Amino acid sequence: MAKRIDVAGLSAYYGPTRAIEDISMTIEPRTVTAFIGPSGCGKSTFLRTLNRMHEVIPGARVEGKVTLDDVDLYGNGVDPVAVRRSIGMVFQRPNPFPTMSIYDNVAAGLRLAGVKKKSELDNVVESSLKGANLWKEVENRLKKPGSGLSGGQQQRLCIARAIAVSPDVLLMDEPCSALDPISTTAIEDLISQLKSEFTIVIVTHNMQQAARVSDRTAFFNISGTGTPGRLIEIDETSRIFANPTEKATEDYITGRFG
Amino acid sequence: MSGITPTATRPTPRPGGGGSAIALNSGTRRGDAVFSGAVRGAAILLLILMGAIAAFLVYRAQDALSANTANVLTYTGTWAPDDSPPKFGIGALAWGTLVTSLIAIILAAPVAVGVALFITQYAPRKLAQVLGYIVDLLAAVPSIIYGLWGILFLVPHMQGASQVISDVLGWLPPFESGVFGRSVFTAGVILAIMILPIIAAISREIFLQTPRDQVEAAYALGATRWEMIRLAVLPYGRSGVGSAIVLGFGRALGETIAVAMVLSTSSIFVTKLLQPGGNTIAANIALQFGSAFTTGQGALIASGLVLFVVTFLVNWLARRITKHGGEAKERRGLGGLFRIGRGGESMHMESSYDAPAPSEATGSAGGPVAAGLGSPLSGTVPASRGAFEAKDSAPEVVADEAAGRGRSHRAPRVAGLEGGVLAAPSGSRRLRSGLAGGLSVATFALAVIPLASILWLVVSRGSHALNLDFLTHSLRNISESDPGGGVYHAIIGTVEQALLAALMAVPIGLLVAVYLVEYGRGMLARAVTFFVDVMMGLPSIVAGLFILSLWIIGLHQMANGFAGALALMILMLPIVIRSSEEMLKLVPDSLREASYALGVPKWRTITKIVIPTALPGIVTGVMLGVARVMGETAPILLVVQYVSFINGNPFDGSQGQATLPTVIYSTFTSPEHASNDRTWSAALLLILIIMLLNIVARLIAWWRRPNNT
Ligand SMILES: Nc1ncnc2c1ncn2[C@@H]1O[C@H](COP(=O)(O)OP(=O)(O)OP(=O)(O)O)[C@@H](O)[C@H]1O
Ligand SMILES: [Mg+2]
Repeated sequence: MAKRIDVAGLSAYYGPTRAIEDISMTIEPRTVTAFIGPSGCGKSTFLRTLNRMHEVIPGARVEGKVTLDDVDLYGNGVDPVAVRRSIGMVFQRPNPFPTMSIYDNVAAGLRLAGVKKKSELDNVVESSLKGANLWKEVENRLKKPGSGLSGGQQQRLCIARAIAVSPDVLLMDEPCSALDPISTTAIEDLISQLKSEFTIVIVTHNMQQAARVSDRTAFFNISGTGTPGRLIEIDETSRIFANPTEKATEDYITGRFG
Repeated sequence: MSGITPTATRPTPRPGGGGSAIALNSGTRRGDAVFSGAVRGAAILLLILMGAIAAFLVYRAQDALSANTANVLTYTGTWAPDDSPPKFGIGALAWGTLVTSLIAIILAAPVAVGVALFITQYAPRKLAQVLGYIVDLLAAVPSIIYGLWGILFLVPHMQGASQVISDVLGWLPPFESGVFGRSVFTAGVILAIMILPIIAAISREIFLQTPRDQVEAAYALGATRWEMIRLAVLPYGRSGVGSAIVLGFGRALGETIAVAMVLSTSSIFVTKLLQPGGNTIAANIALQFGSAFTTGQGALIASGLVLFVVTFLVNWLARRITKHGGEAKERRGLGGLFRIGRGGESMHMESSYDAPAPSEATGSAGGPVAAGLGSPLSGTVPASRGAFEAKDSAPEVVADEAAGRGRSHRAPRVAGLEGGVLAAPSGSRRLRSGLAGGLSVATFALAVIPLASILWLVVSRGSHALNLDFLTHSLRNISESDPGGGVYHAIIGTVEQALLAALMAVPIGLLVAVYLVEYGRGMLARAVTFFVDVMMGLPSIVAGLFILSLWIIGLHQMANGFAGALALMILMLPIVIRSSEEMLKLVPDSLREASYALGVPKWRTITKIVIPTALPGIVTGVMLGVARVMGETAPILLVVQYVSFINGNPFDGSQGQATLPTVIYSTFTSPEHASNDRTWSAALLLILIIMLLNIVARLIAWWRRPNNT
């Protein structure tokens, strides 16, 4: 069940340093939103504030408001554990649990939620692996360790693990940057399929990838080292790439830096 | 627009090119040959030393064993190898050793793991660092202090505790009628308290190495903190903690002084844990060597060999666990585990270079883990490195978890967040997470009580007599009941023997480490690595026995300070080798390659680039090694004649030396108040010196960290 995210006036800190400043945007349901911008501008930081992963870093904190279909994620009494269950995440480096089999990796989230019935687990594992375009490759080795897969397969396994708990939103932080071109294509195809069910946010350094997979694109920038990152603009991807409002966006996209 | 990324500054080409002309002349090749010959020679020397120890002990033991008229496995009469006919049995001793160590490990392991979990996963970050330091320092407290506390504090209190245990569990035969303080169980308890900080320190280090991406993967799935621990921390640390526990067991097996002090011994096969009786191999050696003649020495050596073999097997087991526990990465990461010395008192240093980025922790954990075990420095591994501290929530969530409160009052709002098959984390999941947190806090509290009691007793009873007079006078002509006197003579002995030991161990150890890291290949390297492992597991009493029987009895040398230094050298060598090896391994290959690319020969690369880069770590390791051997009691008791007066010459052919541990040992039994206070003051002084060395060693490592802000 895809949901909409609204962000208002969000700043994030690592200890005393502010990494991102005053970001507001709307992330539409059933779309793919791409975050682009130079290294260090706070894309990952911002992404991690959306499912309250930011605060697992010691000393890190967040100001501002994030709502998921009108529920304030940082509201009083909201449990970060529940937030993360609704907003799944895929990391830059594939990180399957090394001691678990492929099956157990995908089932991990469900088991945490207390699902014990074998048939239900079987169903979800199969559908998630199918959803991640991995089923055919691992069908016969579900009991083998997940770490025995190739990098691209591992990343799809992590996507399967994330979608198995039926989140509303899927956050992906440079999910293809550790992968070869063929695996990248597989994941991009997968993203296009998944957007019918999920709200997807993807951070990428690859402009072509942003153009290929996303419906909307947000450009982030920093005005100098040590200054917090800001959102420059967010718009339809076609517009951002063809005719951006801001000069900085155009410079970045065309490879011209200030 | 303003500058986004500053353009990388190009390295300016050095005018005049490479500069130093290094020709391919025979001189550099000769240098290489000489240097590699030297390090290889050191490695071979080490093998010879080990071979000599083994051969000599076997040779001495054999005579006694063949002279023995009793069944060495089953005999339970008095230890009488010097009678005619000689009679002694090792079976009951070995049994007693196993029983005490098993009691210790059963008591200590769960508590230690709980403490490590508390420090790494539950305690607030600042507190966690402080607690980490404290646990590491406690792991460095010498066993004589534990023994002292055991006999003067624990034993009287154990009478009541034994009564309670036998009231509750008395229907089980091992726990029948216990009102006795000096039982096998008490010995097990004191061993448990001793090995607890060691297991906790290693486990903590391993938990800190949990790859951050695993932790994040678990949290991103919506795991509670306890679920995250079960998904990421425990699977990753399983084999490492298993090895830590086995190593703690090995350490308990070889422990001498503390057991000798608290146990009321007899040579039976112990079955009643709460009653006096039983003995351990190490304690028996310490108690019998003074009155042993030729066959008696042989018999003690035979028992020492049994202890050595058992400890070696245990350490070998620890290594197997590490090897087979988990996947390749982990294997690599924990490869250094078995290198922990005598149950983890070796050292490790923090790499000041090559700090792995948190996200790479899985792949590159090898350095810090290997280095991190045994841990006196581990407190310097902050959260910003591989260490990932779990803070999954705002403080009030922590409080809720700790209190084990459910969160039904939040359910409606949380439920509003949920889609799909998942419900909000159920009350029972919350409860479980809270219980786990509460349990780990409780284990921590449990562990703190005895350790705080030890420190408190030592400080409160030792501090008022610890004055300038105490530091500048000896115990010459001062009988036990006299007031005054001091430990000046013992300070001199302690320092001289430790420094002499270092003087011998450091050059050999460093050369062997260089051999292993820079040259070691093939059979010789494998053999050296193996024997260093063996030496790591060598119980210190066995090292003392070796020097006693070869150097003093065999070669008719004197029981002077130098003999003590020799025994300490044997104990220090593996520590110096392992720590230097880890430090040298942490020097990135790119540095070596850069040097080679300039045409610098290998031996100069090693002496001018590699060793200087690793030097702070090596110095730290040596200092921790010195601190470690300074607290040794058992081997010194065996090989250095105790004197109560000042003797500044460790090579003196006619008289021995006192050291702080042996002063403590020789004065603790006295009931007189003054003497007891001297004992406590000596204990306090010993702790202070060892702590100081540890802290300075850590500071050296810390200063060298690139980001020591
Ligand atoms: N754990 C951390 N502790 C302290 N500062 C951090 C931490 N993680 C990131 N930062 C800082 O926050 C800023 C934003 O980092 P972030 O990782 O969000 O950038 P990014 O846009 O994702 O960069 P990249 O494209 O390289 O991934 C940077 O200045 C970075 O140094
Ligand atoms: Mg990033």
